[in-house]
Amino acid sequence: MIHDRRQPFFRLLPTTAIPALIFFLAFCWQLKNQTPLKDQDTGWHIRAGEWILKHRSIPAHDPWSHTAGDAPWYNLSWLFDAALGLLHQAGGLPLLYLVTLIAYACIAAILAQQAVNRGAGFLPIIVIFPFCVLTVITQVALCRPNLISSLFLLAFMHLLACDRNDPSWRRLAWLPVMMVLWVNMHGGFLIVPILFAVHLAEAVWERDKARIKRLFLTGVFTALAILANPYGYHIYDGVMRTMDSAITDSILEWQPVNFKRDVHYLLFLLLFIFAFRPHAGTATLAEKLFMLIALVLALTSVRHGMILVIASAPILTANLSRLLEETPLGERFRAKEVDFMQDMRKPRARKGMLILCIAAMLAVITPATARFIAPHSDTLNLGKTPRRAIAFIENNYPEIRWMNEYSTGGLLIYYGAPKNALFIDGRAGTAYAENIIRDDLAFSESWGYGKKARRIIERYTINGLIMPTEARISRYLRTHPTWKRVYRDRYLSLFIRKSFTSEP
Amino acid sequence: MPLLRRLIPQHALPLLVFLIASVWQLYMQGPFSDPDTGWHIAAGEWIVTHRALPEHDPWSYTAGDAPWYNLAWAFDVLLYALYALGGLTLIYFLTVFSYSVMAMLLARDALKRGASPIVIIGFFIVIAGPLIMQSALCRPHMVSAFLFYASLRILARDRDDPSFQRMLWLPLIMVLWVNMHGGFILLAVLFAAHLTEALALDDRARIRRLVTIGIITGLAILINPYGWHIYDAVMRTLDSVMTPYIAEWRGVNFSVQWWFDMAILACVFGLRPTERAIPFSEKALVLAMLLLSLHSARHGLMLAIAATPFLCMSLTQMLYALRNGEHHHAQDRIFQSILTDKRMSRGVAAGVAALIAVMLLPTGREWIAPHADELAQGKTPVKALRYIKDHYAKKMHWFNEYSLGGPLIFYGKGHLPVFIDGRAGTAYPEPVLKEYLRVMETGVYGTRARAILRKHEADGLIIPAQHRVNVHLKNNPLWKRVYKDEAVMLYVRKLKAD
Repeated sequence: MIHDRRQPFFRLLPTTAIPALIFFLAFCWQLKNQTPLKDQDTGWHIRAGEWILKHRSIPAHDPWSHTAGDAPWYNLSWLFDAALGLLHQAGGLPLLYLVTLIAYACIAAILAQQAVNRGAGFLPIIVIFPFCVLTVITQVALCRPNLISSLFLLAFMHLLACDRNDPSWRRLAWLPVMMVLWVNMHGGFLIVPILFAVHLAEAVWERDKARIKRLFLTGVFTALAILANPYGYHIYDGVMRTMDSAITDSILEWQPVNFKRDVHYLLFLLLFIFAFRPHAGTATLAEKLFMLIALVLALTSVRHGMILVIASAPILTANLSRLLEETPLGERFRAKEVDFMQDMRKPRARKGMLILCIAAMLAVITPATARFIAPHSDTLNLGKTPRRAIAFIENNYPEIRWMNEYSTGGLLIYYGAPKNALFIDGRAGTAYAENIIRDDLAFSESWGYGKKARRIIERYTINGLIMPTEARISRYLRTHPTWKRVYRDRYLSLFIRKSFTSEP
Repeated sequence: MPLLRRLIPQHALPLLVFLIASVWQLYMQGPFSDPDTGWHIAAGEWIVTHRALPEHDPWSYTAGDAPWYNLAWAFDVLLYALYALGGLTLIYFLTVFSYSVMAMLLARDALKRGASPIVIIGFFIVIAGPLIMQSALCRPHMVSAFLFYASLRILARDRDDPSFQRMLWLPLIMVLWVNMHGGFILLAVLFAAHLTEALALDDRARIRRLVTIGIITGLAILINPYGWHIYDAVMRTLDSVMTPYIAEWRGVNFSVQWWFDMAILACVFGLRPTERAIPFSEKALVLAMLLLSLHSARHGLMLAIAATPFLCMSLTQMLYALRNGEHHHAQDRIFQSILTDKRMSRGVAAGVAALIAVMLLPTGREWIAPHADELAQGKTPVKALRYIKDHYAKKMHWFNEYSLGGPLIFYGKGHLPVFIDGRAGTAYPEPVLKEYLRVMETGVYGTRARAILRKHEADGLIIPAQHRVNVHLKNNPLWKRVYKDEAVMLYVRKLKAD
């Protein structure tokens, strides 16, 4: 531990420059991919937060669409939304952009620090993190409540792991407290029972009765803490409406890993196979079990990639370091490693990395440089906004009912589309009845053709369609006998029923 | 009786695996699920009739003068010979038995390597069984599987018991393989893994053997009707515009194909990459096959072949190394004694004999495998073809959906020219494949689709009854549905219909 007592500032810094280096790399990587505000759902999260702040209550039903009606809206992330609303009011989208970048970069840095603590060398970290860890993180690094789930997962894992070696009731008491926050911020809290289960299994395996008792009691309190939310035990209905909706299969993030498309997952899988080491004592039984569960979860649904990274990246990196040491070149390799690690611990290196990180953050805040390095930090969906389309609707067709494509909903809400313009959005099953979701899917799948599509249009008295210009359905609607395209920009195309008379 | 006794293995497990694999396949009715079986038989018939290999496709009106690289011509001839001998029924049951034999061989190998019967059974239920069954179709990769297995065994034996004479089988295998299936390129992966191992161990004699045999085997590849152009054909299969649309070439879908999750977990536990006692070549091959099969689910069968004996052995060792390993070992011994009991072996053998007897009886066959004499699990275009023959001119061009090509060639006896079939890039030029995709992707709507169909003078459409495009065609102003059965729907241009 190298601390300069004369400079208290240094106490705040990690003991090596590696976390700062990974923070910097993660920050720049996300900037390059411009991920933070790519997700359309960010739009409705912000507006939901502002609604909650304005009305000082949680909406029981959806206030933005003409279809949801009296169906209950389970806003599983109301607290996150409120925080997002506050940040948005304070600094607009650029602030959200920056905070998201920092949050995910922090997660990467924490994982790097954990790897160092587990004895990982410099070289494995600098190879594994950019090629495996950061690629997975960057893919899911969006401004959405999953971010909070990732942070809570890190905290839960840390506290439960600490309890194994250094039992403390007081430390475990944080878990129910954190659960109260988590359950009001994201449906990802469902991972906690799995986390408890693996630790309980370990305690049973080791016949550690005191730990079993601690885990059991804390588990009961944590489970009770789940009820501290606006929906009580109905929160599970909300979660099930997300996981078991007709639309789930059509949402990319819920689909399984495709190794042709997600090559970085292939790299991670190889790392996992090489460095898992079931017999090695480098990880506890609970950690190993959780890693395996996280692997299966991530293979089944891309959105769980972050859980896999958090559960396994530090352990795998440390294991890989040990594997390298066991190679014939291990001795020479180790000597170099020690040199590198010493260099990374030097105050100059730590200070340098810190300055670099601050400079990167300043560059994003400063408008002139932000425009250059992150041109979409002040818009959602990489600048493809429905602003002009909404203006066109308000000016020309303010009365008619529209049906919009699922992915456009969040942006329509954010940019203030009128109520009659919103049919559905990313809240899907948590705000809309299942028949509305099915109708939306059926219409999209039939490309607007057929009796079924006609019936849907009649049922909701739809006279206009809002479709992404690049979507396949827009191509077919152009030659459709019922629909006529009246507006087009690089994001949206608007179609009006030919029989609708009040054309502009 | 002594001969019969000799035929019954002393250990009941391999035969039990054979029996279960056969019943599983018969229950799933997999062998003729593949639409390509039809054109393979038809190709065999063409070759036997003309005593030559067709240079161009003889069945479509779109392929024109494009070369047809029939990578499976020898397999096709064999298939046709079997068809001539016993019809589709014989092919059906031989396919079932081939895959069951493969499963049996793998179980036997695992047993020989000291794997616990409990682990083997578990591995087959959760991993190897589904991997084999998903590929258990009547197609040339069935031959690839056996040749891959044989090559794997020869190379593995050479490591422990070197013999130049044994290694000489590899070029011979290659001559067969290269004329039966494009999977022959996998032999290069096998050689690479063993050569790397020999280089790492600095085993010069082995390096010399592998290089010499590798060169001879490489030269043996040229013994095929297309010479070195065989690689063009392989590339036309691997790199065609159609490839991403063919289910078997797609990556694994973990939501449905859960056994790949299990295979990954088995590799995580059993591969033990750093364990020096396990030969590098085995680990490298399992890993290579895992990656290949994740990339394209069709390689799952090769993964099962490369991984089953090795992972069963490795997982058994792991199980015995556990805290209560002795207990597992004792349980295994009890189980072993049951499986090696004579009564058990005879019982399982009687079960196999009973299954074969049921298959030989027509009523039993009808009950156990009702679609053994029909392609496409009985959903054939036979009635639709009769309808076309009765109502439309012989010269009329029909645009058919890709998966119907094989059955149309087989049942149409070449009288109904097809637009496309499963031979894809090996028989059709790339522009035709692109045109096909364009028509199907647009749901036969739009000016482009119209222009393509006009260009090929296609006045009729043959679409599978369950295909999504029927929804659009139902309301398409240019097309009229004229026929429908449980297998296909026929559409004709409205003007023609009138």
